[in-house]
Amino acid sequence: MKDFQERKAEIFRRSEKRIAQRRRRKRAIMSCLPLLICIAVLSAVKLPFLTVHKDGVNSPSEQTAIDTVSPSDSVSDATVSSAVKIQGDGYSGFFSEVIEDPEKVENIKSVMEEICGTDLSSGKYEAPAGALPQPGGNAVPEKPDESKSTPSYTVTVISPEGEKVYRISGKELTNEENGSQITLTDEQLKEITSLFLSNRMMP
Amino acid sequence: MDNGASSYRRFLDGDESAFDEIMREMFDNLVFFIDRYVHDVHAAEDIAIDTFSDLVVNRRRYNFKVTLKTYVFMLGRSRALNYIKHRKILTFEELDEAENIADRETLEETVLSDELKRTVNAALGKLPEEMHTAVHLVYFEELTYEEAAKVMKKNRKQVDNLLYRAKKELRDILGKDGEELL
Repeated sequence: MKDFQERKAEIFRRSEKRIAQRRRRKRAIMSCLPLLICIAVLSAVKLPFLTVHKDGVNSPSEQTAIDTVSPSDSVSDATVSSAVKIQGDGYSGFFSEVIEDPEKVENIKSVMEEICGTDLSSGKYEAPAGALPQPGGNAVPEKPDESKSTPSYTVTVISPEGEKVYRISGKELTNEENGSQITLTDEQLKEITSLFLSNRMMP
Repeated sequence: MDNGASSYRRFLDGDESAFDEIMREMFDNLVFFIDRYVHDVHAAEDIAIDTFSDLVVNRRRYNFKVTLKTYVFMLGRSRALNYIKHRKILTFEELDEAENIADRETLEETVLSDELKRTVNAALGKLPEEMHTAVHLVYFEELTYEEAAKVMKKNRKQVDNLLYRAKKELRDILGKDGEELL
C-alpha cells in the first residue's frame, strides 16, 4: 500500500487529468457549436424555399389571354363557361385570340348558328337556306387555294357542352367535327370577321 | 466535531493543508469500508484515491447538507459497487493474495485500534453484507443512523432493523463481549 504522500500525489495527478479531459471535452463542444448554429440557421432560411409553391402552373392566374395551344386543347379555365378561341393567319400576320366576354361569345355563336344552320351546343348540322348546295352529302370539300395566301382562321367555340371547331379559309367554312363545308357569301364573311377580327384582317 | 466540514471549507478557500487533514482523518477508514465490498485492499485503495479525486475535481458539488464523512462514504460506496459490477474475474496468484492479506491486517491495525473492535470486525465477516455495512458505519465510523441510512441509500427504519438483527447474530457469535460493544 502507498504511503500518505504517494496517495496525495496520486489523488492530485488523477484530478488534474480529469480536469484536463473535461476542458478538452468542453472545447470540442464549443468548437462544434457555431457549426451547429450555422446549420440550424441555414435550414431555417432554406426551408421555405424547399416547400412546394401553392400556385401551380395550371392555376388560373397564370393563364394569359394569348394562348397558342392547339385547337383541340380545352381551356382549363374553370371560371369561364363559354369562350371563343380564334387562331389564324390574317392580312396582318399570324394571331391568336380568346374572347371570353359573354355578350360577344353569344353574338358569335348566334351568327355561326345562323350561317351554318347548326345548333352549336348539340353539334347537329342543318344546311342553311342561303348556303350553296354541296355535291352530295359525303363529298370531300375542296381544299382552299393556298397559293393565293388567303386568310385562314380556326374558330373554336367553347361551351359547357364541349368544343366545336370551325375553319374559315377564304370563303369556305368547314365544320371540323363532321367535315361539312359551306361557301360563305361576302356579307356572311364580313359579318363573321367583323365580330372577332375587327382590327386585323379587313381587306 | 463537524466530521471535516470546516476543513473542507478551508480547502475550498484555497488552504491545501486542510485537504491533508481530511485525508488523514478519513482515507484509511474509507479504504477499510470499501474493502468490505471489493475484498481487495489494493483495489479499495485505488477506489478511495478516485473518491478523494472526486472531492478535488467537483469541489462545489458537496452542499454541506450532510457531514463530509457521510458524503465521502457515499461516494466511496458508489464507486465500490461500480467496481464490483465491472470487475473482471482475475486469476488467483498466491503472492498477490498474501500481499493483500498483509496489507489488510496493517489497515485493520490502523483503523481498528481497539482490540475489541478487531474481534467484532472478525465476526462481522460472518454476517450478511448489509448488516455488517450498517454495523461498520454506525459503530466503527460513528455515523448516526440517519447518516448511515444516507450512505446505504436506505431509510432510518431499515438501518434500525439491520442493526437490531446484527446485534442478535453477533450476540450468538461473540457472546457477551460483542453485546457489550454494541
